[in-house]
Amino acid sequence: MRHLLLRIVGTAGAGALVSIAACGSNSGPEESTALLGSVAQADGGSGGR
Amino acid sequence: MRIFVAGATGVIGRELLPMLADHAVVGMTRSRVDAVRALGAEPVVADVYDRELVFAVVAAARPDVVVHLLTDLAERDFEANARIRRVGTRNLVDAAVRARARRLVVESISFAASAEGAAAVAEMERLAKESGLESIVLRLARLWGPGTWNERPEEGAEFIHVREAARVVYEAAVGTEVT
Repeated sequence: MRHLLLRIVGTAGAGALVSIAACGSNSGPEESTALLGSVAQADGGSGGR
Repeated sequence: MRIFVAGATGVIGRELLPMLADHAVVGMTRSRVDAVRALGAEPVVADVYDRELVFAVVAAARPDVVVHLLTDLAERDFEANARIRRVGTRNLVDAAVRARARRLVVESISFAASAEGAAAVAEMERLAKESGLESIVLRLARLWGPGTWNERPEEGAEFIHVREAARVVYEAAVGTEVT
């Protein structure tokens, strides 16, 4: 069964873009990339607020 | 999508629930029924240490996704927080399995904790991984923003704004296809 272990860090002091990295998942890195893409899209594409 | 959120009135839950307005959300709370309702979810009252009750309320919710946002840090009691990560997680994960949820999303931490705290986090993550459910464990940096312990991020440390953290939880819960 798919298991994702992701490390989530804000990359700017203003809490703008988040950084997502897979760490120890049994899926490939594309999983975290896809999730990051979803977050950026939800953020209006700018990654900021 | 049907989503069960444990820890619905915590700092992330308060940001997350309004984001889930297009879904059928049940928010578990020990007592804050009105708060859950105000956030747009259906409240269910349960203490995560009441294993049978947790099984019952999760089963009744028939969730596709179970979101674990349980912490016990209101009194800065790290022993209590370790207990909820061990015992509370076991009850919630077992209930999710019994209810045939398809996905489990778990709030974890990316930063160092005490030995006891780290062991509890490791246990929580292990329970998720070994649940047999599709699981997404989110190791979040320290939170800052409304309701957190930090009005702004500390220089030189890794932080994430609570709203951004909630957005990541949202995407983990509903943003990718549930297999």
